[in-house]
Amino acid sequence: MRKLIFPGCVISARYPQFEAATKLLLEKLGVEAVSLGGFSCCPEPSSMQLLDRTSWLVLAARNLSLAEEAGLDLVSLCSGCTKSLLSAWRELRSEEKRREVNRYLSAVGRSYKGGSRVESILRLLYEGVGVDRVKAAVEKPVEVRAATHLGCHIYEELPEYDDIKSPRALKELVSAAGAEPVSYEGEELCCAYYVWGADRELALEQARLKLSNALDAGAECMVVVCPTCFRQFELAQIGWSRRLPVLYLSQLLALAAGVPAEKLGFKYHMVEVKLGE
Amino acid sequence: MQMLYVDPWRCVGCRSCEVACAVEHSSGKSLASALLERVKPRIRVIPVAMLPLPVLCMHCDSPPCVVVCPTGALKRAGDAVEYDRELCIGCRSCMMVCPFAAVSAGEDGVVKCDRCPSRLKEGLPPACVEACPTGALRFRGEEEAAREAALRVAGGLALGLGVMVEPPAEVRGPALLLMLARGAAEEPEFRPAALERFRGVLEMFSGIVASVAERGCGIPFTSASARRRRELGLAEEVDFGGEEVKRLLDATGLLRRVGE
Repeated sequence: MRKLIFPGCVISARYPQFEAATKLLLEKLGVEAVSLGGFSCCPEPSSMQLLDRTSWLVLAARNLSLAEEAGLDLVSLCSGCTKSLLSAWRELRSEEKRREVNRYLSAVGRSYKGGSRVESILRLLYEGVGVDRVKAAVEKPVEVRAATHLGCHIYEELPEYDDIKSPRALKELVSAAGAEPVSYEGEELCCAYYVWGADRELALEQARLKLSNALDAGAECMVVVCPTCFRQFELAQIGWSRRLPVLYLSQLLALAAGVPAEKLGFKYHMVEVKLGE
Repeated sequence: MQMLYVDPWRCVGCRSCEVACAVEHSSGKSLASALLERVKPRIRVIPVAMLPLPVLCMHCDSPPCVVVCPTGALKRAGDAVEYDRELCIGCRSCMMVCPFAAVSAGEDGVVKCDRCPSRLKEGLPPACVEACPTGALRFRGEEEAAREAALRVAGGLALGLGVMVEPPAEVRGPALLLMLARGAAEEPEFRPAALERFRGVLEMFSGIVASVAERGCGIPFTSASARRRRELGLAEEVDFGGEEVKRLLDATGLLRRVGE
């Protein structure tokens, strides 16, 4: 299996450890992860869609055209990118829409014909690779009680392979790593990162509520699938008395698959991670 | 097709609409149960430039809340924007992007105008409309409302009211009217908190878009980014296709708007 990695700008610039961890994990799982230069921001779904929908679709189509040219399907490491690229991909099923964006793309010598599918790392691991294979690759079970957080933008694709009323894909993968998934109140709530722009108090309150509930339920870490959720849960712990380390799914699974902790970039985390020592 | 229409020029600030809304959305549909249950009205009368302005969901044709809703909890159905609590994960993205600040935090998810579905089924107008003594709230056919709104907007422009943001082309007349009225709230003491909130979101969003237009990447790529990448064994520099992005955004006209 070969996949083209779409890290997105937040991971590329701020959390490259998630990209590194994903590549090391996929290598352990026998998936060839290809990197390609030239991808721009996905673009960020909310802002670009609201300010100018055409620009959003054209930039997303450009990213998709790069994957199409490489002849590979994309695996997205960020839920915002998953939402943006997947909804653009769906919209570009329409030939008329493709004609419209290709009028713009031709200015930079590109065109998009509707190829290359997009999926999140969660979906690739859960469906493409499968929980059994992930489990089979475990060398050092990470025996930790882990709260899971799906976030919001992943819901663009989640209904296609998970029960959105009681999601289990992420929990099954966390279990496969040897960790014990912890249920907590407000599990389904979003991290509220986006609320920062509007209401700092509310943004902090919601993130800390989730962290508190997870800690009270006995969690020793929080596992996320999106760099924005990661950022929010770390930022919310500044000036706060409690601590809950935050991990990106690939980091946990790579650690379980025997990748040494020092290759997973825990030292860049603001909230100290003491796993794998 | 019927729509809720707000005419702020007729509003006298009696807030009967708020009471009627709370009563309608209480379990017993009475004032007593509304008070006991502390029901939050889905319509609020706020002061704008010293004038009362009823604010509620405008059920936009192209609703920003539906665009940002990640789970489909908000969707456009017929001539209304419907909210499904069951699908809501409480991200509050809708609250942030609503130009009218018409979505508020509920104990469980969010709260917004649902146009009183049980009343509509019986052929009655929404409760706030029925309670409004001056006709500032009306429920009527689209064409009729749009025509009147256009006249009002022209009147607003003549009065020199500033426009807060460029409204989406598809936003209906009355919505534009509300924006105009909101834009009038320039004096800080009269500026509703909701307006501030919307400004903050616009700034955040504009920042991301400006960054993408500048370098193809939505956030800054710093020397720390490069160092971390090197330490992790990844390519130190990342090509974000900046030049192509710039040319494309120039073609769509966004580059010019960002520049302004």
